[in-house]
Amino acid sequence: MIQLKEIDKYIESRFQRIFILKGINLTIQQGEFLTLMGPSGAGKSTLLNIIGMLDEDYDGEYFFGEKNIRKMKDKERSNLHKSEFGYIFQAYHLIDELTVYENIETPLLYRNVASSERKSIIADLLDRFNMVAKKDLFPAQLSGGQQQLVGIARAVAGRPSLLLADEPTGNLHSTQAKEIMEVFQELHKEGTTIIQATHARENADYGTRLINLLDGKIESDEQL
Amino acid sequence: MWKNDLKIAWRNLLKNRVDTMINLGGLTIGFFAVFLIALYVNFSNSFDKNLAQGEQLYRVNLNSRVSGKEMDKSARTAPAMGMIFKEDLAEVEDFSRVIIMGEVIAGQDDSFVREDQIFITDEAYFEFFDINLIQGSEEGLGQPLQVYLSESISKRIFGDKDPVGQNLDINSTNFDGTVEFQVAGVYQDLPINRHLRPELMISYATLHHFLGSDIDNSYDWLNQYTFLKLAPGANVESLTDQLNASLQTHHGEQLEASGTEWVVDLISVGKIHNTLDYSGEYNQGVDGKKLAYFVWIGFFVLAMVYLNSINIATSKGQNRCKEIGVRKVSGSSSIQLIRLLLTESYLTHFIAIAIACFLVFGFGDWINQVLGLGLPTVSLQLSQYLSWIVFFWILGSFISGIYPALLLTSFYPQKAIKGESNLSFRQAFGSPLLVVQLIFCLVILAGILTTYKQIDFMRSRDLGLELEDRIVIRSPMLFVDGSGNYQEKMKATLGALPEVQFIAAANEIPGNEIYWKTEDFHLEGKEKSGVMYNMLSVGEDYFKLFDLKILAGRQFNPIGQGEEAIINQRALAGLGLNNPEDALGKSLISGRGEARIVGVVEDYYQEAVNSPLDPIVLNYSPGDLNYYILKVKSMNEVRNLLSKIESSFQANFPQSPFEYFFLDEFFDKQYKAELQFQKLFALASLVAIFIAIMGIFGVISQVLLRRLKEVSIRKILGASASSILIMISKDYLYWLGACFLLGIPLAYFLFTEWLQEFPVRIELGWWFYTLPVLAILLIFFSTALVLTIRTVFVNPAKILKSE
Repeated sequence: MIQLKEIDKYIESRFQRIFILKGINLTIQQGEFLTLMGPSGAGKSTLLNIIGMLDEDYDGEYFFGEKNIRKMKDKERSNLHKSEFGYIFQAYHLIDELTVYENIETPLLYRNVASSERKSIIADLLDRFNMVAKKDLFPAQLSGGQQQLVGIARAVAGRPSLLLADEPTGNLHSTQAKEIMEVFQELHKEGTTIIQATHARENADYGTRLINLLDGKIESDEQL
Repeated sequence: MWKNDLKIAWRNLLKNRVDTMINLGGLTIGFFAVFLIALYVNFSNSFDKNLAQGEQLYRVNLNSRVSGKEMDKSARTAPAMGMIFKEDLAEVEDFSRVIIMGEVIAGQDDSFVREDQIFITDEAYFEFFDINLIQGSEEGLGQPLQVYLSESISKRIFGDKDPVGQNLDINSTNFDGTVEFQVAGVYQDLPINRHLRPELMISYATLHHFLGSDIDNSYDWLNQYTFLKLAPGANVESLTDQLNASLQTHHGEQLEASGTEWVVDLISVGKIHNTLDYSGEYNQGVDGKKLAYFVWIGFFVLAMVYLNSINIATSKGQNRCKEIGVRKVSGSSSIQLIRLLLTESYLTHFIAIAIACFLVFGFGDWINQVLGLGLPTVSLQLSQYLSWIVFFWILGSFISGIYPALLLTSFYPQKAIKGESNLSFRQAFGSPLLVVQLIFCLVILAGILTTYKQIDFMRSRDLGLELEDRIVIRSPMLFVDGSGNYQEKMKATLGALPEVQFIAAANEIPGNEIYWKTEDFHLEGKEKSGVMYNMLSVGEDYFKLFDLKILAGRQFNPIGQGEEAIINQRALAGLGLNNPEDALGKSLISGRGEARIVGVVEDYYQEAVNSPLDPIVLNYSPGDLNYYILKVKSMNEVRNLLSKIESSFQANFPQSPFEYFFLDEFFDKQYKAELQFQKLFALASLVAIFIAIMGIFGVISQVLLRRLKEVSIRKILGASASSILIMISKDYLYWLGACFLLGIPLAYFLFTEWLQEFPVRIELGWWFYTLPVLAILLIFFSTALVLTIRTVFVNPAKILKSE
């Protein structure tokens, strides 16, 4: 599904290039649940951003399916971005001015989903994550775990084929973290491809493949 | 989608209440000021613009020159001119003559009014100026002693009685007493935006009745307005040449004999109100150049408001980086984001415009009074400005919202989410913006200072006569209280009061134009020189009362009317004399007879100092004059004195109302235009200062936010509060320096230009260069220091921990 070839990402400094990622070759199949691990500064988030097309400033080749991302037109890329990707953040990044319901609705609005269909999609999601009673609350009124559930609901609302999660449990305590990981597992079983970056080894156990990064290089790659 | 955008915009406004209030406050005050300016300018420009034949109507003006030197540029012309122009030139379709009557008393039985908007008019005037008869017929215009009344005057005099066919007594100095007229018709009240707005119109045949029909061939009687109706599409320039040729053919010889040169020109009726080029206008207009200044001030204010709104929106936008990032990641396109951000701008502007509209149109009358704008109520209707308001709403919201929207949507989403917005970018934009705001503020402050000084200068200038402690009492209504010599009676009763130092009668008081103008004066053995003289009849003690300086000769002796004359210096020059002594004893000859010159008085300002000094011939009159001026010894007990005067007046003239005013206040009314200018400037400067403070606040708090970490680290390393204060303040010096370097020359250029309008004017002195600068410094540092000190005393541990 995704193929990365010789991905380099560096910062130019006065005397040398400082590499954040160097020579990354990676193939990810449809339906994998992949975990990126490594110490701070290893390049997990950077790699995730590149895969998620949030960062376009790198060298190397990136194929999504048959298509070379780097050679796509802006319009195509943005369409691909809308239809295939969902994002989950460590700090949830919900929009403070919007209610739970409206936060989940946002990506659907940008995908021009009809009003009635939006309602049914959101109702399903609220039901599934047990948030029906909280739909009119604002993010500040929710606990961290609940906020992250909204974040996940928002990410999957547009039915993406690939879910990207950057330290999704980093701000949560262990019970909440477990809950979130179980949701991921469930989504994975339903066929969603998931890539997560994390510090916590126990989170990797929910996935199917574990990649260790160190100093911008792939240290190990194992199937679980 | 727009519903969603609107909802978010609304919540955003509610969330940042302080920011919203500041932004809304600035916009509202700004729009409010701009509305008022627009209303004022629009009203001043609307005079005589909606006449059915307005495009074809022109007034003839007369420039007279003596030996190449321009003597007068007058709106008033002679009766013969219209006639010859129509006869000679096919392009002149018709003409109308309007003769000025001056103030009259008109009424019937016990119901009388004083009115100065009264003219002698012909049939053509009714057609030219869309006079709409609602009662009676136009036939009366061809018959003598017929009068037409406006609806409101008719109501005041006749109440509910049918006025047509009633008798109406009109008392005027022009009739040397009272004449009985018949009401021939009543017309609809004229709109307020007409340069002439007659309340009474006397039939033209009346003029023939009094002066004979020969008056129509007169070239000497320069006391009327001539309006021409030109053929559609006539070329005004070539026509003016033809008019002059025609005038030369008919009257050239006589002019040459008197050494005078006459040149006529045409002014479109719609432009009369906005031109101050001509003397002899009946109602004072508003200078078109001044209106242009108002428009500039309006644009200034609008520009400041928009700049400020850009500034605030940009700095507020910082807080939305995360939201924008999330939305981008969720699949929003840039266009959708820009639309979202613009929605907030549109909403804010909408609210501000709505509040400003509410203030202007809801409390318009009150504001109008407070500011003395003199707007009529009819111009305060929202509906006629709606399309402009919508236009400015759409354009203004876009202007002030698009930059922050573009800036915010230009970030990479992963940076935006982390809050790493491009602070330096904003910084680079924010400071020049602030400098521009400061420059505006400086220019406007310099402006208010200059206008204030200039007006103060004009009002306190030595007029050549004293106005303080002078009370003016209007003459009793002559024919109401029977006949008799009122001057004697007034002098005997009021002059006897111990508080009254002098009493003198005069036909016109300082501050009013002298309407009696004639060039019909010459010395024995000399020809008429074409100089226009003002004729003023005064009573005994006039010169003492006003402290006028007699250069040669003496005051009047109380002998017969018109036997003695006193002239001013201009008149002396007009008669071709240099030395005041030379004039004494000479005979001044006019159509009315001969008068001996007994004195020469130093020139004094009959009207405001920005109007020209005219030649004046004063003659003595023991008879009934329009005004009585009292010089009181002290103003301390003026209330008591006034009631004393009133009771004495009422005892002698039981039928006449007691009307009085203070001469200095009356004289001041002539500076109305300048005072309005000053008030609008004051309003603009309020907006400017308010907005500058907000600009300073916005930009500096951003700068300080950026340097918070630096300041914290320096403090940990041991920097003292004062050294940090100095370090930060250094930046400000560049901005202020830029502001002064650009602002002072700009202000200098603008206001020397403005001062050119005044014949007597102030010099821009040290105050012009220093006071606004000091004000800016004060405003700047009082705002900046509060913020800076707050940063300096921040607890470094807190800042660094959150990094």
